[in-house]
Parts: sequence; structure tokens; C-alpha cells
Amino acid sequence: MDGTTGGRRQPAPEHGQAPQLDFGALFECAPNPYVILDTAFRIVAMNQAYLRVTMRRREEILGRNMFEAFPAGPADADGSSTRMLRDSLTRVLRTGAVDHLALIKYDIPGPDGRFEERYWSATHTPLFDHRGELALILQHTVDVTELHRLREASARAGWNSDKADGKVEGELLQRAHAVQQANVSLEAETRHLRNLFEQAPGFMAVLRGPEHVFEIANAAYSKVIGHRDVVGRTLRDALPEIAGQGFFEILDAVYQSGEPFVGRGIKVYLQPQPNAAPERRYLDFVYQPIFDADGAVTGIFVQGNDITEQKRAEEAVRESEARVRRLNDTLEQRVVDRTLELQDARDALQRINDNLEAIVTARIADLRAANDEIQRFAYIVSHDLRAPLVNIMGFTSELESLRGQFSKFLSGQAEEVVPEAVRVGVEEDLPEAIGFIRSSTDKMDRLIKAILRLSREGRRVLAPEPLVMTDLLEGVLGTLAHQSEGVSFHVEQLPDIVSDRLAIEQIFANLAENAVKYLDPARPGRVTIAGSEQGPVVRYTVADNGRGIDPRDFDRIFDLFRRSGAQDRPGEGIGLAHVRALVRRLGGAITVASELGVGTTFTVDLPKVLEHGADHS
Amino acid sequence: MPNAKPVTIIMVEDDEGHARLIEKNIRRAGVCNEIRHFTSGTAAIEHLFDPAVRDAGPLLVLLDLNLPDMSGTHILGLLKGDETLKRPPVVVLTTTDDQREIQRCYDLGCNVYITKPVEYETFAQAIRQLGLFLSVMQVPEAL
Repeated sequence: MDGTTGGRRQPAPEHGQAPQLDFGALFECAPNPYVILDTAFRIVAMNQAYLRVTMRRREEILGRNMFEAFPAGPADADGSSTRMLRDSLTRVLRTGAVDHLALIKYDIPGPDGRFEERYWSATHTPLFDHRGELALILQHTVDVTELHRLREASARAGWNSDKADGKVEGELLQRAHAVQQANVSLEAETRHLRNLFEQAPGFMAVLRGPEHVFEIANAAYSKVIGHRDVVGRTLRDALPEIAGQGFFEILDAVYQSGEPFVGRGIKVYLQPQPNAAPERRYLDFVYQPIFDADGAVTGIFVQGNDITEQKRAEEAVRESEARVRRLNDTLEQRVVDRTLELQDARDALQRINDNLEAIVTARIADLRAANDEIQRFAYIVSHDLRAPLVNIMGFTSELESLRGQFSKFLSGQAEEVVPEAVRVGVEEDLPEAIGFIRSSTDKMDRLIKAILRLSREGRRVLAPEPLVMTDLLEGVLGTLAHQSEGVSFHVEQLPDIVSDRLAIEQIFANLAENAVKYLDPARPGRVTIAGSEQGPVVRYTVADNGRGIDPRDFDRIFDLFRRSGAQDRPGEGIGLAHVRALVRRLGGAITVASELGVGTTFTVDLPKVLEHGADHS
Repeated sequence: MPNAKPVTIIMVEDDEGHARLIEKNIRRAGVCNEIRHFTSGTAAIEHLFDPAVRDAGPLLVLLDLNLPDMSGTHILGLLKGDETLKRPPVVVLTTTDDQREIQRCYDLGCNVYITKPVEYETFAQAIRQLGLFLSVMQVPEAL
């Protein structure tokens, strides 16, 4: 058990004039077993004591890895022994300090190849080169198998070990064991902290020295920098792409000032993979200076969070907000545009309406003017036609009176003195000629009067007044009494109307007169006048059981001077033309339905109320 | 006739036939007064406004309304608007029986309005009655 005697940089003897020592020989023949490993745990040297205790030959193990040279035995299926050894060696590498393994069960194969149970107590001592860097590990190991077995046996026998040697041994072993336990728990704690560090969600790294050499970096950090191997490299070397982004300067400042730096949402361009284009990332981080016992800065603890996703989400939100805003603006603009379009359309429509109104007004004025023109024309023509008619009739009368005188004179003469031709001329030819002239002029006079009446009717100002139609019809039919003997009139309940009395009277007088005039002598005449209201329109019908009208003449009968059927009744073909003109002037319409030999029905639709000033001529 | 000077009849009528028939029937009524016939309004006005005529003696005007050069109502207005010529009676004798026209003529100061009936017997009767009327009516003396 030489574990406590191991120290750093074992010096050569300091005192006395010691002869030149051969350290190689000393090492070789030292009674304690020694083996020397490099940092990869390869066996680079051992002494005779070591070969003896491990039952090996030098050439078997020299240059080989420790764990290849001494593989785990069958009793170490879970590898706990080799791990214990490896952990100890690794601790030395990491800490540069002596590490003790107070008791380790590590079976080794005997000369026959079979594994033998062995317990060891080992001390691992770091050896530094001339630059002070750890270069080798010296293992001093002691086979304590017998001791271990003895102790276990005494424990089983319940011996009180009062034997001084035994007690010393026991205490020593216990103490060693306690140290080892402390080491184990320390190691566990360290491992725990390492795990925490490694698994911490935030990225962490420790940069050492003024050149910011990565001492350690956790998984999150590794992820941020694209899983590059950075430990042991300077920041400039490990992350060349951040040059020019200001981080070196900040780190230098932190290192020099000892003041921490806190960055929020800092933008950094990092290569996700070697040779890849740098990606933009956003980081929240702290550069926390690490101080040594003297308060000098020895490194910088880097800790932070990659907030790129959060930042992108924020950007996405901002972008979508902006898009919504733009959409809103666009929408508003579109609404404004559309509104303007609609307004334009409405204005255009208004202009068209105005124009239309003007056009209609102009058209009405034109029609009025044309109508007035026709009225004047009819009026003038009728008068100018009448003037020569006065002469024809006048001088015809003069002729007739002269003929009377001739006739009287001839009647006083003897028959033989008056030639037959003269007598016939005066008594027969002249009266015949004069008769034709008279009947023609009479007819012409009637036609002219009719035209005159129509034109006059068109010039008359309408005067709407409430009319009790049943009474009005009774009066109209009364004037027909002398020409309608034997005809039965039936006036049903008629809707009243506000209209021009004279026009209404003339309309129904003409229709009733026509009905009576064209009755069928073969059957008793019957004329029915009925009416009904249809909203703003009042409909009157005048129906007879007369001789009827040929459907081909339905339109003709309303034309001036046109008549239908046998011309065996007096008339100029004026009545219905007059009626239609009146009905139209009152804003109404007239239609006829008839069947020859059965009867005729005239239907008159009129506005229920004729407005004052309304004139549909 | 109480008048010292017989009434001169001024007939304004563009239709020669009408004029002749009117004259015949006036004569047949026994009226022998001088009848001066004018076939245009212009000629009639020129004659009537001649001081020798205007201020000379009692006049009676037979006026047709339908004249080629000017309307009868215009002539009527001129006559009735004149201080002297407003006095002689004016008989409007025309084919028009339009109520408004008749009304207008009376408003302008026409004294009698007679429609020429186409039926000659009626016409002749009317003229003869006018002649009888003329024979008994008092006409103002000229100033």
C-alpha cells in the first residue's frame, strides 16, 4: 500500500552528494509494481515487479492498450471493474491530479489462461513533460487479494481482531475504502453536473484564456454551431464565420474588463454544416467572466438560448400582420375605388336619366306640337273646305230656283211650242243633276263637320270631376230613347270614376248608339253595360246581341270614315274614331270582341282618377 | 230711314262667290245701300282709314275672318282700337262657328257674329234677316 506516498513530480533526492542514480535500473528493480501508460492508456513501460504480479511477460503487454492487455474476465460481465479503472485514469487526465483506487476487483488470467480472482489497490499518478503538460500516467498497483480474503474471513468468523497488525490493516483498508467512496460520490456528482450541463436546454460553453479556447460545450451549443468539434480549439478557429460579426470583440472586452455581457435577440450568421451557407440565427446569451482565486479572469462562461424559432414565429406574425394590414389597406382602397366606380356609374345613369327626361320632354313637346299642328290643320282644312262648299250649295240653290222659274214658265206654254228636250231637261235632267250635287255636298258637309268636331274635341280642355256612372249612363240612354224602341238596356252596378263628363258621355253615347244601330232585326235587341274596378283602372263593357263585326274589321272600325259590314245604316264612319280619340285622351284604351251573328262587346279601360291637367292626346 | 245720309256697307270677303251670294240676298231683303266689296284685308283697311271714308259718313262693316293676307280679328282689333272707326257696327260673317273665335270677336267689340251656314236656304235666310236688321238699325253719324 503505497497509495499515499504518490506525489507530483517526484523529485530526485535533494540532499547529500548522492552518486549519479540510474533511474531506469531503480524503476526496473523497485519492489513495487509499476506500469506507465500514455494518455491513450497504452502501456509504455513496466517493471519486473509488475510483470511478476500480473503474471505476464514484457513483450506480451508492452505497447498495448491497458484494457486490451487486461480484458475484463468472465466474472466482470457487466464491465464494472474495467469501468472503475478507466474512470480513475480518465479523472487523472481531466484533473491532472493523483487518483486512488483503494480496492478494485480486477481478475486477470493465470499462466493457464484461466481468470483468477484478484483484488488490487492502485494509485494513478500524472507525469508531466517539460512544458508542464500531462504526458504519462504512472500506475502503482498492489495485489491485496490475500488481505481482502483474510478480512472477509475474519468478518465471517466474527473475530474480534485484536491483533495489532490485523487492526492496523483493517483500519487502513477502511480508510482507503472511505476515500474511495468519497471519490466515487464525487465522481457521481461530477457526472451528474456534467449530465446536467450536457443536457441543459440552453446552450453552454466555457472558453478558456485570452484566445477563448473551448474547454467544454454542451449538446445545445453543439446544435447551435452545427455539431462541430470545438473542444480544445480557439473560437476563431472553431467558428471562423462569425468573424466580423462583433462577437470576438465582445468576448475580448468581457475577458479584459471582467464585466459580463448580456445580449438579447442578437443576430448571428452560423454555418449549419462545414462549407454550407451561413444561416441567420437569433440568440439570447450571457458572456459571464470566470475568475480564479485571485480575481483574475481565466475564461468566459457562455450561456444562452437559441431564439431563432421564436424570432421567426414573431417575424411570421409580424409579416402576416403586415400582410393583413396591406390587405386591409388594399381592401379599403378597393372599396374606395369601387365606391368611386359606383358613383361614376350612378352619375352616368343620372346623366342618362336627365338626358332621357330631356329627350322624353322634348319628344312630348314634339308630339304636342305635332298634335297641335294636326288640330290646326284639321281646323283650317275644314274651314277652307267649307268656304267653296258654301258657294257650291249656294249657287246650286240659285240654279234650282232658276229651274223653278223655268218650270213655271214652261208649264204656262202650249206643249207644242216647247220642244220635248227642253221640257225633259228642265223637269227631269236638271232636278236629277241638282239632286246629285246637293246629296254630295250634304255628305261633304257632314264629313267636314265630323273633322271639325274631332279637331275641336282635341282642343277642348279636359275637366275631371267625380261622376256617378250609373246616373250618367241613364242620362245617355235617355237621349237614345226615340231610336231604341223595343231595345232592352241593362245597366249593372257601375264603378264610379273621376273624369271629364262630356268626354265620358260622348264615349258611351256613341257606343250605345252603335249597339242600337247595328242590332239584328231577327231577335229582340239587348244591350248590357257593366263595369268593374281593377286597381287604378276601371273597366266598362258595352255588350250587344247585334249582328256582330267581322274580326278582320276589328282595327278598321276605329279608323276615321271606315265602317264594317253592310252599309245599310246611316253614318260616316266617325263615331268609333271619335270614341277611340276620346278614350286615349283620357289615358285609357278601347278594345272590341265580336262574333258575327252573335254580338259585340266593347271594353273600355279608363284610369279611375283622371288628374287635373293630364292630357294624353 | 232717319239718317240723313244712307249707310255704306263695307264688305271684306275674299271669296267672290260668297260676296255675290251675300249681296244677292241683301238686295233680296230690300236693302239698297251701297255695298263696297274688298277681297283683302289690306285694301279694306286702306279704304276705311282713308279720312275721306273714315270721317265721311255712317258705315257698316261685313267682315269675313278667313282672309288671305291678314286675319279678320286683326282687322277687327284695328277698327275697334280707332277713335272713329270703333263706332260703326261690325258684323262678322264667316264660316267659323268655333266658340272661342266667336268669344274673341265679341271681346274685340264685334257687334254681330253670323256663321255662314252651308245649307244655302239657311244662309240666304240669315242674310235676308241681316238685311232687314240693317234697314231698322241706327248707325252713328260720322263725327
